[in-house]
Amino acid sequence: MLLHGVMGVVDILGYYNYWGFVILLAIGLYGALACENLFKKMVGLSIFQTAIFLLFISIADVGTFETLGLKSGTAPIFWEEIHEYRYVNPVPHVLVLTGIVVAAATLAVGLALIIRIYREYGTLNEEELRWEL
Amino acid sequence: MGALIEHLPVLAVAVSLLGSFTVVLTSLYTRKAGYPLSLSVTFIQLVMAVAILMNINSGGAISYWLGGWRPPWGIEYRVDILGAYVLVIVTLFSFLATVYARKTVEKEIDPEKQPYFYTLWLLLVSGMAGVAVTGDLFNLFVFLEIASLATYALIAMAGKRALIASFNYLVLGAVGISFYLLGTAFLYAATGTLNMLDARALLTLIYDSRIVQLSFVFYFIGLAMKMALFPFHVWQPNAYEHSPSAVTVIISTALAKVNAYALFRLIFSVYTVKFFQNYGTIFELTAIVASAGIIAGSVLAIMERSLKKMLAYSSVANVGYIVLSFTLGKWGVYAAAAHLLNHSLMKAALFMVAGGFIYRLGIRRIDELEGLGRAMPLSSAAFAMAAVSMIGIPPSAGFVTKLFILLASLDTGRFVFIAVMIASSLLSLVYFWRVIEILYMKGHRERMDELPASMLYPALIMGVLSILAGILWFFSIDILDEIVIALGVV
Amino acid sequence: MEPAFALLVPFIGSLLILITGRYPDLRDTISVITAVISFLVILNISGSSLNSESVLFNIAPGIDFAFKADPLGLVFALTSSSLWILVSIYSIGYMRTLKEHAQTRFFFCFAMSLFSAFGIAFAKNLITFYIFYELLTIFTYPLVAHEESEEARSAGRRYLAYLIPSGASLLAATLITYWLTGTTDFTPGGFILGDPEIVKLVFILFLLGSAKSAFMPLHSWLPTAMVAPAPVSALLHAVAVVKAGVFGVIRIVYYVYGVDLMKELDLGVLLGIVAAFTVVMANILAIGETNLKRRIAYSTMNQLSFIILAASLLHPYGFLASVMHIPFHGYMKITLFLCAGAIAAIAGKHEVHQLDGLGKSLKFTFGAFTVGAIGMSGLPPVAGFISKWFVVLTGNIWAIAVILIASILDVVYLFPIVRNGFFRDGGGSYNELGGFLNRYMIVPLSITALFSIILFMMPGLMHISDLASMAMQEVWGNELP
Repeated sequence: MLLHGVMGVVDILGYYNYWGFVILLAIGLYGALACENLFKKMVGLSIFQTAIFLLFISIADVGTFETLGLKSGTAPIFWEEIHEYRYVNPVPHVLVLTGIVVAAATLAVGLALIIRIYREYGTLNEEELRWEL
Repeated sequence: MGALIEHLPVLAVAVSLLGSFTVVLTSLYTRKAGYPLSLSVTFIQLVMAVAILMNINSGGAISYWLGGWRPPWGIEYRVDILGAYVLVIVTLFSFLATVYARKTVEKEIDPEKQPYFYTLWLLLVSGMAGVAVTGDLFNLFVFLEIASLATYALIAMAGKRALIASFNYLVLGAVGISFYLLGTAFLYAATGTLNMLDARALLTLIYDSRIVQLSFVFYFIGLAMKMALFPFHVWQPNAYEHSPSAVTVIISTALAKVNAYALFRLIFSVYTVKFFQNYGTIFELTAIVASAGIIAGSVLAIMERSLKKMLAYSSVANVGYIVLSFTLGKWGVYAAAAHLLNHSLMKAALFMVAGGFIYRLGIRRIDELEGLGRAMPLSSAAFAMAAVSMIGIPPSAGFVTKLFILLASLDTGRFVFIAVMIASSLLSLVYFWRVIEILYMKGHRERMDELPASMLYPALIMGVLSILAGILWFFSIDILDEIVIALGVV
Repeated sequence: MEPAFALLVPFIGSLLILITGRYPDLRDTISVITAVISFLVILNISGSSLNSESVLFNIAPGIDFAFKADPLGLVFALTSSSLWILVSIYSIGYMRTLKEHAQTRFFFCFAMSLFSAFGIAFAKNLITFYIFYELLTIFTYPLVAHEESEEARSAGRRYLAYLIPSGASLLAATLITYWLTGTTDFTPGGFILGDPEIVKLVFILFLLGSAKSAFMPLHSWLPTAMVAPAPVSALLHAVAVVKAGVFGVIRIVYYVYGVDLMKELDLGVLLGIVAAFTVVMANILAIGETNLKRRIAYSTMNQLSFIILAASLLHPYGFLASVMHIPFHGYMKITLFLCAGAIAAIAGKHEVHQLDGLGKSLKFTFGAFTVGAIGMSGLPPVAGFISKWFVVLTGNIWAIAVILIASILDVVYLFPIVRNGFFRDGGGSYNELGGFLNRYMIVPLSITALFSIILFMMPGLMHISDLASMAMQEVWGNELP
């Protein structure tokens, strides 16, 4: 019973890529929403989006924990029931590529706005800018 | 002609993409090409959309495989009756907003930047059209982002405060769309497909999986942020207030509806009603959040002094109507689908006139509107007609939606929403009537020139339609029936 | 001719009024002609096309937009349309004498209000009824707030604050009725069924939805609305708006609930108590009121609740009384308001105590006022006597007591005006019939006063008594006692 529990904990810790995803997601979201400096918001946003890309990749990966009998998260998870092979799925990679482009565009627009705002108002502090609105 | 029909979904999107690049190219030679090009392009799109709608009635859905790749490996554009209907709404209001845009753009945007304005404008239109026709979840993400990025830039073109408003919108909008992406990731992880139809089929096996439920929650939150559903609406009032008038018109009518359509699709075509029957709590929560939004939006509108911000809060409440309707069964679907059109009709007129007042007189605050009823009778009449419709006086468009929602509440036995609807009608009476009263019953101004024709006529037509829509809907209720059948809601 | 025609006339007329706004004489002529044609159409319908229907469209099974020219509706329509002719002529004189502003808006809204009133009269079911009920509120608002002063705006806001929520209550009641029974069509003898608790609740919702009939405590919009010009007060608050309210109550009591259900659930008693309270209270408040129009407004509240009281008795004679009092009261009340307006326009007086001696120069005006006052108190030879007599005939002691008290109070606050006008000194001298415009006012009010007497002698005029009896037959069938 104890062994089962220990194995369980190790199982969970094994999914480090997912942990990365969650932590980055939280950091990014916090940064994007709670930081006062506009630039930091953009950085937070980037981290947030990167975390999502990490998730996409993770679910595509074959995984290296067969020794522990773990099945890692190939997409689709239920593939095994339907087909015989497991391989790194290229589609999520493609989605990530597209996503990166979109994120880059968003970043570009955001930074352009930041430059204009700085020129116009001389500050990048959200609190101060709120008064302008 | 038959062959052309098959390609129309793609053409409808491609035309404005091409238009957008053409405008940029021609800007090397002349600054004046933007408006005529936009006008022709949006008009062509409107014609295409109507053609699609006409042809759907007989044929079911039009399906187009991009590059000839069979779904679910390739991207599929699938236009069924709901998609065609939304496409018509999007292209119609894009066209009207373009007509309206001419004068306001001339006044509000730097001459040097005007070509870029129209470039972005057409990009926005193609993004929205793409969302309406696509049958692929990731493709929807891409097009929605195209539209959103174009919007951020368009709003910012008004300079100064618009920059801050746009930035706030950008941050929240990007977070929102990223949640949508997250939802797609989980959905893909669970089913292995991005195609909507395919996902629907595969999901039926795994409704009780945590991953699937989580993906829906992410989708919902993401789209809620983009639709400005309470409590994620904070970006909207400022964005609507400070953006150029034409941009406010197009995003409040077309873009907002496209976001609502995305949620509509997800709930009914991908997850289907059966999913929610298993998880009643999600529907309950949705209804509660929507109702809170309805009431909150209305109350915030009452407290607002600026005309455009008041209208923005009104939009927050109206998005609440649409989302609430999703949870109320067959009549609810009627209500939601009808409100996509009704609300656009009304808001178009309202924002067009509001923008017109700014254009003519620089007036943004409600208490400065005194006496305009007499000074600019036609413009005020357009506003008044749309306002009466928003309050829900029969037989106007607003009443149709209200009636459908009330019938839906009775039909599904959720009587509390009757109280919510009635409360919101009364609240909207307060803030809209205040404007009507100030326009007509206060102050004295000399008769002055009306709004320019390109601004006045679209507003007037929308105003009249929103009053008569009640009568017109009763003749065209078949389309709602077909939507219900296509979505499989009974 | 179908009832839809009757609606088309004021609709087209109002559009024409809008278009000819720049040409006042043409516009005002169109206004009067529209009224005349409407009346003739309705008279025609009541003669030849009784019970004809026009079904316009169908939203869902049981919810359609349809009209039916049944006897009860025709009584209301005849009242409104005939009085419209007289008031429109009067308005021309009034508005021009006082050089009022926004006359096009005034006449347009007037015509559209009548359009809504006809829609209410001819509505075949609750949904159509509700639609036109709300439209009536919307179109009368600009008339109430016409003056555009702070007081007028405030009165307008109060008007909406009472009537729109009331409309919402009516909508809720209508939809619940639909949900209970699958239909909303008016049926003589009633059609609603369901769990008694719910049915009683729905009745209360209907009652709350009838704030237009100005029963207490939902009455305070009426006196404040007197800030409107006299023609507005006259037609709308004596004929269209408030009559729509009591007409609605009669419809609900007899055509939605039916006599048997009302008796079973004791709803008649409830309604009777509410009405009786207003009848007496309104008259008491009238005594304390110094503004002439406001005093007449309280009298209206009293008379309207009298109609409700008569209807609540659930007796054929009571029904007859309530139905016939719609036109009778209409003519009498309009006389009073038109007189008040003439006094204001010609002599500039608004308060009761300012009227001493005016009767000597404004003979026709005060003569007409006298006729109206007699009728309000229920004395012959004016029509008001007939309705009160029928209530007496029902034999209900409480009702008789209430109307007796009310009549006495009527005398107390109406007759002194007459007496002071004729028999006291002061008042200056005014040229009542001098000036072309004055005649536009004096002639109509004389006609309405005359009609009040004629109706007493010939209640069959304009088919009124026949229609009322037909309605009574419909509702009671073979059970006439």
